[in-house]
Amino acid sequence: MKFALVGNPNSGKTTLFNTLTGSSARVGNWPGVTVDKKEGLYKCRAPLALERGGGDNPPATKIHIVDLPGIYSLSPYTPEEVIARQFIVEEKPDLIINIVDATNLERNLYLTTQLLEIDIPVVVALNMMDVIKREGAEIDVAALSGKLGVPVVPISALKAGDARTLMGKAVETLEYWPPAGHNRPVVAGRFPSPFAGLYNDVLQQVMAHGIGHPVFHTIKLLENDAIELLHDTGLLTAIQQRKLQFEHSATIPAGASHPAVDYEAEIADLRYKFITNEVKPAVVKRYRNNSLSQSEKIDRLLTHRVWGLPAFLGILFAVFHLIFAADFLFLKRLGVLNESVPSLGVLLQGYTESLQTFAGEQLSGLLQSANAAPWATGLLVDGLVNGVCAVLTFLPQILLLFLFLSILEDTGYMARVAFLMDRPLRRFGLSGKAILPMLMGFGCSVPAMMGTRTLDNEKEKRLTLMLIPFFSCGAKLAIWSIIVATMFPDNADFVVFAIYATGVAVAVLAALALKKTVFKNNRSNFVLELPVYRLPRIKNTSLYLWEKLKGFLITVTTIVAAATIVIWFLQNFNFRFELLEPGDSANSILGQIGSSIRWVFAPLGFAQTPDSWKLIVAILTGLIAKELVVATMGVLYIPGFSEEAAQTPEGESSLIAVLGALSVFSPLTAMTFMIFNLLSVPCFAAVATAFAELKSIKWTLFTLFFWFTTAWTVSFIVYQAGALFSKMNVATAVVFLLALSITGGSIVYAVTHKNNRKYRCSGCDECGEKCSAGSRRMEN
Amino acid sequence: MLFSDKMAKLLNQFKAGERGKVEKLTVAGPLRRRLLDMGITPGTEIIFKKVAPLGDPVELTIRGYKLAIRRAEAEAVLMKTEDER
Ligand SMILES: Nc1nc2c(ncn2[C@@H]2O[C@H](COP(=O)(O)OP(=O)(O)OP(=O)(O)O)[C@@H](O)[C@H]2O)c(=O)[nH]1
Ligand SMILES: [Mg+2]
Repeated sequence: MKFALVGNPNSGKTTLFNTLTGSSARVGNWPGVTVDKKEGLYKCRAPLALERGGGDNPPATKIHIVDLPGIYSLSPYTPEEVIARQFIVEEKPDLIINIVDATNLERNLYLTTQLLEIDIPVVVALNMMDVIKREGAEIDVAALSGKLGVPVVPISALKAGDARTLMGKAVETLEYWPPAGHNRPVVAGRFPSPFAGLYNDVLQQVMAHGIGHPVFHTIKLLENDAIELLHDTGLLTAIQQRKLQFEHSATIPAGASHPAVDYEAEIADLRYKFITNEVKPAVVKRYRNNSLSQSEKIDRLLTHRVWGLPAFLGILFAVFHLIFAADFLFLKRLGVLNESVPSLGVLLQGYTESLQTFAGEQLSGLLQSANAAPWATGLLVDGLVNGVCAVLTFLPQILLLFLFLSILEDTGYMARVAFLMDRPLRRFGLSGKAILPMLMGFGCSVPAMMGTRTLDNEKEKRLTLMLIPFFSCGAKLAIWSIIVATMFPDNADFVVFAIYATGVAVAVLAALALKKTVFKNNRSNFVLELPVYRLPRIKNTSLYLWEKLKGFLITVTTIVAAATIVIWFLQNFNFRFELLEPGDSANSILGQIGSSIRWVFAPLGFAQTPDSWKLIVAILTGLIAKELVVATMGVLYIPGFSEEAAQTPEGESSLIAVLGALSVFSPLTAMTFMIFNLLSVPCFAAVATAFAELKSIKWTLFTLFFWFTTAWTVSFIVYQAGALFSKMNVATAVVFLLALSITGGSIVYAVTHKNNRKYRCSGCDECGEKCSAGSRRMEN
Repeated sequence: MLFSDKMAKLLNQFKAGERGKVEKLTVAGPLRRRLLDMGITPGTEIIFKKVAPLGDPVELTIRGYKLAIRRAEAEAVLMKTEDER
């Protein structure tokens, strides 16, 4: 058996799905979190058996729960909404659980009136009842059930008990469907008389054709939205004729000014009238919406005309500061304290580092005392431990980043960012909604790329997808951490912020370039619900972090561990599979490969020493998973170091210390290495996702080419320009990057501002139809 | 219109804090459908809440929730307001 969770975006479908199935699918306080259908098994069957009174024989059928993307109506607008309609209409679930957000009844019930027209049993789950109770509002559930003619179960999606009651009711409903007093459908019974005649005629024809969901399809035919019936041209023309006949007949009610009847508006109006005139007065006993007014207060700052954008930047910087700053709150720099206090991220990273050094020493001690063969020690300590530990060191910082992202997503701020950024982004062929997947890209590119489905315009979707890797993902954070800790420990937060800013700046410039060339005439809409602010839920956050931690540990123990072993072999054997002397790794398979393509990277600065094949190999392994960049550096640099160099700083063999002592980077090459990694082709999983979303080999190849060229070109420019300063220190590096972003920004501004007037004029082609229509109407 | 105390006006021309009722939508196609689905149907009361930092989009309160749309889209909504006397 299959039950589908259907409801408005952000009504709590996924929360309920997680409660019902024990999954941990992504939840967030903004519309459009779920973009694909997801199936799970209802985990608790015993109470159903009890309620059916058949305690001895619990029902053998398994109940599959399907979580769907949120929809405002059954007329899909964006690709992820199409998924939902297709599932409901074509895959015919046995029952629809319609999640209705009780704090937003009017708009949520609009969808309910449509679901009632489908020939599938419906149970309404009236969600967010905890909020209703807290606010002191009151809803008459029985009256609502009476008005809709289907069972209504008040729930809070987080409570397992409520979910169980709901499932009990759902199973019961299936047995007694249709319920007594069942009076659907809402609209068809309320058509004004001439309209009703037309409706009945169309319904007859649809039934005569033996089409499923006749009421639904009849209304869709009237609305010209019968996407499932497009193949049935005979029926369509017949209906079209009947409609024309209706429109020309004299029976059109007085006051309908339009020559052709506006079916869509009439029907939408009927639905909303039913809700506001019939349902709400009977159902809403007391109405209070404190969270709405509370949200308004918060928004006084966060979407303020002047302070909104600075607040956004401030929040982002605060996040980086908490993760990376060695001098928390600048206490030392400001002279408040003599010693700097590290921020949470740096503090935790220090702990894991010492823990791992300790573990590494114990292991090699153990192996020595066990008289293990030198190659085994090499493999385990030099390969596995160095590689895996190099990545693991940054686990706390990565988790912190995800913690902050999850808090941002849970509060409802994300939708505000879209609101703030829509205007600036529009100049680059994007809408504010594109910022949501982009910000998700700071976590991981894979879900972010899938998130582009919420964009209604194909060009915008492609463009956004191509830009997502420029938003530095969580795994790349390890690269920034290792390099800033080596090269710029005192200004770590600023440098990392500059790196992220560079990514964003490049994304902006690239968007502009693509808009002028590949994606011309991109026109999009922006209609976005702004949800009320909510306190982040500890359960959501911890589940999310746990998922991330699990994912990270799985990557590290499988891909990273396996890869480090392979890398260790490849750097200790040459092409004739002879074991090399320690320190001769330049002649190894990896050394040869890396050196052979050094010319590609030489103009970027970081690949000029003979040893730099190691960095190239690190970049290449990054194509498998970005965690591997640091892991590879660990395997390739640390072992050689302990044997060659005598000046080991006491007890320190961490990658940070090694990179510092070997002077692998200069500040400038450190920058270009980071920038190249920031912008270049993302990991394999992301490339595969891009292919799945672009649905075209041609586009995927173009996208790969675009990523590589952008990375190379920007690194090249930065290196060559930076080399002009003979010796670059941290301050200049940061100033330089910022200057670059600002110059880029002003170029963009200058270029786009030529078109500025376009947006305010009347009669241009950007918004021609609409504004000329509007102004004509005003003249009348 | 001279004799009526109602004024027709595009939603786009509202000022922050102003409210009015929807008269009709002047676009066709998917955008119209979307606006209808979001509850912008004739007779609905809309409060024009605020404008984003760079002048666009705008924030509305409608049917008890908050909706952000662009000016270009607001231009497609013809409104009735009580005339300010
Ligand atoms: N107070 C309260 N909050 C809830 C409840 N159910 C869900 N939420 C919150 O509502 C927000 C949206 O929840 P989701 O489960 O992601 O909503 P969804 O319907 O799956 O949203 P989309 O995937 O975007 O369509 C989250 O912030 C949840 O924490 C509830 O019963 N009570
Ligand atoms: Mg969801």
